[in-house]
Amino acid sequence: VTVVQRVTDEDGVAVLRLHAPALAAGAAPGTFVTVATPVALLRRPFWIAGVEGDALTLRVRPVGAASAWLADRRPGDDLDVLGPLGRPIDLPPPGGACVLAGPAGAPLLSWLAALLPARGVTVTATPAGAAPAVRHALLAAALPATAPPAPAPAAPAPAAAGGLGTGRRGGVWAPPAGAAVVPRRPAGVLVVAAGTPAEQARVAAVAAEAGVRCLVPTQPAMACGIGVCWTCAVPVADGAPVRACLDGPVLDAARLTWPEPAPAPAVAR
Amino acid sequence: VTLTAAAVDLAVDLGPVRLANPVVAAAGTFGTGREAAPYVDPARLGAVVVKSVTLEPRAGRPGPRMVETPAGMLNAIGLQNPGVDAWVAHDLPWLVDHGIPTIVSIAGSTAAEYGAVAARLAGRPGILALEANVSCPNVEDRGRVFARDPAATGAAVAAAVAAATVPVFAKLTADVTDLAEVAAAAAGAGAAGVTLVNTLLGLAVDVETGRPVLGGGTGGLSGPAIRPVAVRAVAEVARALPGLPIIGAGGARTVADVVELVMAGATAVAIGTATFTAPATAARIVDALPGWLADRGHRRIADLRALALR
Repeated sequence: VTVVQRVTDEDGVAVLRLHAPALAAGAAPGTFVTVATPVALLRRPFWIAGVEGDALTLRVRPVGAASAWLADRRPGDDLDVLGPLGRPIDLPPPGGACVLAGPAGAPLLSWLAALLPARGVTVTATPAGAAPAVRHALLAAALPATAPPAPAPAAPAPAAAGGLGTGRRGGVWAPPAGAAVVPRRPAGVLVVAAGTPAEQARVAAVAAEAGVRCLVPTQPAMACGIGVCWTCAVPVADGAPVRACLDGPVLDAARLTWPEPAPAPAVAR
Repeated sequence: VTLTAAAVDLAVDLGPVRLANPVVAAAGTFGTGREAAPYVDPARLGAVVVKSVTLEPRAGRPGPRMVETPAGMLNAIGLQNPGVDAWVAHDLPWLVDHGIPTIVSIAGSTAAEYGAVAARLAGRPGILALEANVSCPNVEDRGRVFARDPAATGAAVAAAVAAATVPVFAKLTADVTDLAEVAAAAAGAGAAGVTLVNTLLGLAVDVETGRPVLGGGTGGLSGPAIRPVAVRAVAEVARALPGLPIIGAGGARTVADVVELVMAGATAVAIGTATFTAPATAARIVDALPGWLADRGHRRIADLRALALR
C-alpha cells in the first residue's frame, strides 16, 4: 500500500490517498483499516473515509505519536495496512434520507456525504453538539415535502429536567407543542451520529423519539482489529458485550447501553 | 555437508503431548482460532491455545479494556467467554473440522470449578491438552489469584487433573516470590507441565482524572516488555524441575525470541501479543525456524532445550 496523495485540510487533518486495489475493492462505509507504525507496538485503527477506483482515503488527525507519524507520510511512502475490517453499514435506499450528525471532518460522515447524493439519498448535515439543530434536520429529512415547515428549533429543556449533556438516554428535549414528532416515512431515514459519546447519545435520543434508525460509529480501545483479543468489546442491551472490530465498529444506537456519566475526576481541575 | 532447512526436525514432546513444531498461539490472543483463520492457517502451528473458558458465561470487564504501554500493553478483559457448554457446542466443532491441534485454556473462581470445566471437556475429540489458567481470583481466598499460592495452585490443578481425560498444563504468573515452588505444587498435583508466564499485573492511571485508565482497574502486562521476565522464569523453573515440560510465553515475536526461550528451558513457545501487531507472526516463525536452525547446524530444535543452563 503506497501513499499517492497527501493534503491537509483547514482543520489540521491529513487526508491521505492510498493506492490499495485489494483494500479498495472490499471497502464500504463503516469499515476500517489498521496501520502499523514504527513508533508504537500495536497497529492503529483508522476509518476508511472514501474509495475512488484503486485508491482509498484516510482522514488522519494527529492526536498521538502513531497518528502523527501516519499524518506525516508523503506520496511514495509504503505502509503496512490491514483491512478492510469491520462490518459495512446498511445504506438508506434511493429516495431515502440521511442525517449526518457530527463534525464534517468525521471520516464516515465525509464519505457518506460524498457517496449518498449520487445514490438518490437526501443528505442533511448538522453539528452533533447543537441538539435542536439535529432535531430540526431530522424532521426536515423525514417529513414529506408537503408537510408544514419544520418547527423552529426547540429550546433545550432545563438541565434539571432533561439532563442535557449527561449522555443518558431519553428526556433530552421537551418536544415543541403541536409539532409532528414522528416522521411519516421513518423507514427510509437514517441518522449517523459521530462526535463524542455524549453527543452521540443526544442524537440517538432524538432519533429514537422519532422512530428513526440511528447508527453510531464506536471507537473503543482496540489492540488487534481482527476479533482475537476482545479488548474492543462494547456493552449492548441484547447480550454479552460485542467486539467493535467484528460486529461494528458502527453499531445501531438501539443496541447500545450508553455508559453512565464518568465519575467526577479525583483531581480538582 | 550443509544442513538443509528441510532436514531440520521441529517436532517437540511436551511430556505426553507431541507437537509438530514448538510454536503455539497463546491463550487470549488467538480468539477461538476461527477469527484468526483469514490471516493465518491455525493448523500450521504446533497448537492453538484457545481463549479461556469458564463453567458459566462471563460478560467480562467494562471498558476501556486495553491501554498500550512502552513496549507492551495492559489488558483487562475479565475472561469474557460464552461458557464451556456453548464453547463445546459452537467453537470446538470448527477446530475439530479443521484439524487444529487444540489446547483448551480453562479458568474458574474456585478449585472445584476447574474440575467442573475439565469434566465438561472430558472425552471430547480434538483436544490435546488443557491449560489451567490459574491467574484468576479465588473467591474462596479473598480474591487472591490461585497462582500466587502453591496450595491454591495445587488444588485447582488437582481438580482439573482428576476430571480431565487429557494432560493438564498450569499457566503460572511470575508475580510470586518463589515461582519454582508454585511450579512444583502444580507438578505435584498432576500437571503434565507449566506455561510460563501469564501477563504481569500492572496499573495505569490517567493523570488528568486521577482514575485508573482500565475499566477493570488493574490489567495484565504483555508484549516485548515482559520477555526478559519470561526468559528468567522459564530458566528458574527449568533449573529447579529439569524434567517438567514448559511452554514459554511472554513477548516473543521473532525466531530468535523463540530460540531464546527454548535455550532457557522451554519445550514450546507461545506467541501472544505479537499476533495483534502482525496476525501471521506465529506461522511466519514456523516458516523461518528451519532455515535459522539449519544455518547454525542445529538438526533438532529439541536439542537446544535448556542449552543456557548447561
